[in-house]
Amino acid sequence: MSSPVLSFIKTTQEQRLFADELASLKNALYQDQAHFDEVLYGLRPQIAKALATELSASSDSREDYLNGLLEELQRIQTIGLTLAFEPSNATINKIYDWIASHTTTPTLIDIDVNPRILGGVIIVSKGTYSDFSVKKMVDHYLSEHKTDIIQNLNTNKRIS
Amino acid sequence: MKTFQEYLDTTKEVGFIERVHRSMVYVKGLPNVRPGEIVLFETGQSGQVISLSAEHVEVLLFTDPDVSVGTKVARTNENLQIRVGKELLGLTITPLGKPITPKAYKKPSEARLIDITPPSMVNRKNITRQLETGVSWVDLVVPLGKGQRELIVGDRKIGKTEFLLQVMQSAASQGLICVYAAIAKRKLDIMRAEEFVAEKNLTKHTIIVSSSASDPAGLIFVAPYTAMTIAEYFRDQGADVLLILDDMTAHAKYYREITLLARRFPGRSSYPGDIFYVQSRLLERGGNFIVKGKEVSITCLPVAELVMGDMSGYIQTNLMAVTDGHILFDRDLYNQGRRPAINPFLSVTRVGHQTQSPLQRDLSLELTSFLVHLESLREFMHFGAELSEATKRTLSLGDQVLALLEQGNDTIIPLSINSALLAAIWAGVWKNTKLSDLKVALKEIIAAHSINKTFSGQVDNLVTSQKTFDSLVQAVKEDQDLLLNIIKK
Repeated sequence: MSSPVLSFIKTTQEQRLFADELASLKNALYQDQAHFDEVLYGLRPQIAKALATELSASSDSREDYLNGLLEELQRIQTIGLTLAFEPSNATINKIYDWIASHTTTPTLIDIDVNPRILGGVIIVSKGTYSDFSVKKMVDHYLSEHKTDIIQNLNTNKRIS
Repeated sequence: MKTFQEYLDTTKEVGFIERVHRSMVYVKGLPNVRPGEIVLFETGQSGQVISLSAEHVEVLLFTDPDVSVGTKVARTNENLQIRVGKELLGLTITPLGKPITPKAYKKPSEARLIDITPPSMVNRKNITRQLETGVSWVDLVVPLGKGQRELIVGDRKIGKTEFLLQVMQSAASQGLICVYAAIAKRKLDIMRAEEFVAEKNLTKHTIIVSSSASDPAGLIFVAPYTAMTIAEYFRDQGADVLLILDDMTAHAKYYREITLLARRFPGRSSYPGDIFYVQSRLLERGGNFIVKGKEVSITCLPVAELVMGDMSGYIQTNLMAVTDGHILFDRDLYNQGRRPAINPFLSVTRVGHQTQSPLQRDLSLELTSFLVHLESLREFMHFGAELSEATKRTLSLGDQVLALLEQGNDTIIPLSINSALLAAIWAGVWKNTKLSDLKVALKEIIAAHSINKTFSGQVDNLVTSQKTFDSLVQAVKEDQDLLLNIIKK
């Protein structure tokens, strides 16, 4: 990522939140400096700190800088992950780091929770769909061994 | 058709709806999708890819646009195809091949692509067989051949559809398979066509492809393609087919709607630049073919609607350029009470005359030149000129000829009895008969021809044994009792 502040954005949820924060900053541009600072330091602390550093270092006007940042934010590619559980921040960080180490371009993760997949993950990236869910594996196993399973069930029934 | 999940697992590609614009949907994803491919939405709807851009896949919906942004889309890796087979006979189906008629229905096994390249010249043959339409004006003046593409053109509500149903009835009685494509018609009109088919007992020979004006534009657009695909199936089974596309101006309008929604650059009258290509490519699939050594045909009757009789419209002239002639239904003639309101002077048949027997060709030439003469005499009468005896005779003969050509939309008149009656009028059999009495006599003879096998056999023999119109007139004159006695009976 060209802008260091964007390294704090890991998920599409955070992307939307950050876009809202940038929008409120842009609105504050047209008021006095005190109000702008108030809005800036009202943001999440790490984001506010990074933004303040970048704004003071940037040669562009504040408006151009914020517009450029917003554009850059919208351009980041996403990878869709469907999980069977709600991941903790630590898990999200772990997944993000793993993806970042395996991709060359900045990527955000779009997490969708669906307990019906039982476990594993469904990955959607650049239009490709890869299903590594436990549900698929179970479905596949059941369809492959349908006759054996029915046979076993019938045998067990007779024994009992 | 597989389920959405099955397609997803097979193709391993997914897209998401980003924008919905009426029947056009913009999808992000699906990296290897092809133009023309069918895609499936997770909500069960389907659509066809019409173009690709760097950002989006443009999909034309076949259902109402009740999909929402974010809906998943899967590829099917298949182009649009429908199931075709004899099981479709007697049914009314949607443009996607699903039956509407509530009847027990066995799904046909063969699937065919609906958009294919028209057959090459190698598989085609000259049109040499006449198609009896059962409509006197057409059979005698503007004859059609099997495999001909004849445009039916005229203002709305002046009897085009009735004429087409009449032709369908005649064709079905000759064993042709009839495919009627109702393109953006009112549901009431489609129902009337269904009722006509049931009433005239044509179900064994007829399939109706129905798209009503309330259907999505994508569905209406594919209706004629589906009808043509069904026609091609029966052609390949060795049957002659009559295909009616009612109407192609509506088809063009819906294609215009689709392309404007897709932001294609509008051309003349806002139609897209490829409208001629789209419609000519379809109509080129009709014709006379050699299939498995047998001559079979798809006679195609596309319809074009005129606005206030204006024949210079973009789509109308396009269709005239594609087809082998046109039959014009004239608003003025309709208002004068002529039924069917066919204008013989502005109608054209490019290949019809070559299919006629020498007698029919002679008769047609004689009749056409007489009608031209009659028209000029009638024009002359407007000046209030005094008429000579010869002119009066010609006008009286003209009235009798027009009485013969006058035809309700519930009757079909075989060519042989038409020819015999025209020869009888020409020979002066009813010279001093009142016009009203003549009309009754003609009706009775035509009815007798359809009921009385002996009589129809005699008439057919009389007509087929003659080589020229003059000899037919002479033969009828000598044997006029054949016609007159049947009325007495």
